[in-house]
Amino acid sequence: MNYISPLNENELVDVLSKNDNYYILNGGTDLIVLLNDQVLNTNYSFIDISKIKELNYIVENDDYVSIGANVKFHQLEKSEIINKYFNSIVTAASEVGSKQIRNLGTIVGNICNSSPGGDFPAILHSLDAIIVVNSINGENKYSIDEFITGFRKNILKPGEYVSKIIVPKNKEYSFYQKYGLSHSRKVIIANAAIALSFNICNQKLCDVKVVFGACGEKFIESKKCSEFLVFNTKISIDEWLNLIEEELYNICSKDYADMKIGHLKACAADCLDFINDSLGGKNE
Amino acid sequence: MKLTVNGEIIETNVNPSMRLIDFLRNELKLNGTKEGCSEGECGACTIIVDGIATTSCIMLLGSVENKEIITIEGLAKNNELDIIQKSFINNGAIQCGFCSPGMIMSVKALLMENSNPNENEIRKAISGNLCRCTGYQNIVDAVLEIKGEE
Repeated sequence: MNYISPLNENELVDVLSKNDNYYILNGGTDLIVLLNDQVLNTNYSFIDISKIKELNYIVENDDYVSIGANVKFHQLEKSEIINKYFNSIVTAASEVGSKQIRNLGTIVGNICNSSPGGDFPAILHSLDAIIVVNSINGENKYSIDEFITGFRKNILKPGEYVSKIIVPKNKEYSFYQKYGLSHSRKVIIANAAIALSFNICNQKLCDVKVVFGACGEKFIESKKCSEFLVFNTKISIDEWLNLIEEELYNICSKDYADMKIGHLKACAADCLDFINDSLGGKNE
Repeated sequence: MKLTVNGEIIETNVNPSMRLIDFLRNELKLNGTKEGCSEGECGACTIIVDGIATTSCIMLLGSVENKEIITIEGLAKNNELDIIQKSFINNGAIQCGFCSPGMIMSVKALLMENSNPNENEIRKAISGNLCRCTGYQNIVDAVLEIKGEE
């Protein structure tokens, strides 16, 4: 296969506009597995963006944090800015794959892979993140819900690439938990996950967003769960888990929900602990 | 393209789309790096690229242009094993040996970053390396014995 490695964004835009058949290599922790499995089209080119230094940054502005396309999981895990504002991103970045995978994989690669088991789409939806897509025609911005259109599908067209993710700083608290096992029993691939973000207003939760991950073709926002957390000052674990179960069975087929419910409830129980700790911390 | 492998500058015209592990094993004949799962999960193919442990089965040669690579063959100096290798032997941290090169490279990367890790940090550093023989404790003991000496 042909290999192209642009050194800056101008070169990348140029290369993308002149090639029709390519795979963008952004970390490669999934793409090269497909190469190993001999399922890639060998007439395609790899366009490796890892050498574009101007895409490797985590920058804080007044209202948001920007994460460049080349930022790897281990950089997120160690970033002071990410640790300051986004607990859910740090949790996922420190638990995704193995140490070696975290040293290679990128958050932008994760969302472009658009796998239902990916950690970051649900988290970025809970945080109202913006995905910035560039091409020779300029820049477009999408919510992650607009960006991911289905099972391993996204809005990217030929010539386009994701240049950065913009994450608003308007949520003080965020949480992520996944449960599941892979065949190796070392690397956990989510069978079910919950991403949550909220603020605390007058010792109650406000601005709540609850998102289920790995429970369908793409992440699913549960408005009922969000409303429940806003309206209940004392949250009963039984009521919370019953609502989670009710929501999952409303969203999925029974057989599918049966496979997920155990892990999703485990996520939900941890989620409630996080909420109670956050409220407790605020009340002290 | 150029890269440095175990301190030696290598110039090559090999297709950059070749997997890094294939380049190391087939072109440079550095067979110490093992291929296990071919999915980046087992850690057998772990090498160090610019000081960071990575799995060479899911990397392309082109991605390491101008970078510095250390493989298991780069540890022994003047016919003497590295302190990590010696400690693995002394602590019975090797059984079948298939995971050992990758495991040792993960430990090497850890000690390059943090010469005095605690047990949790050691376990986290080798969490991407599967071993079906030792049960991991002897490996952890081997690292604990030499921490601070690297």
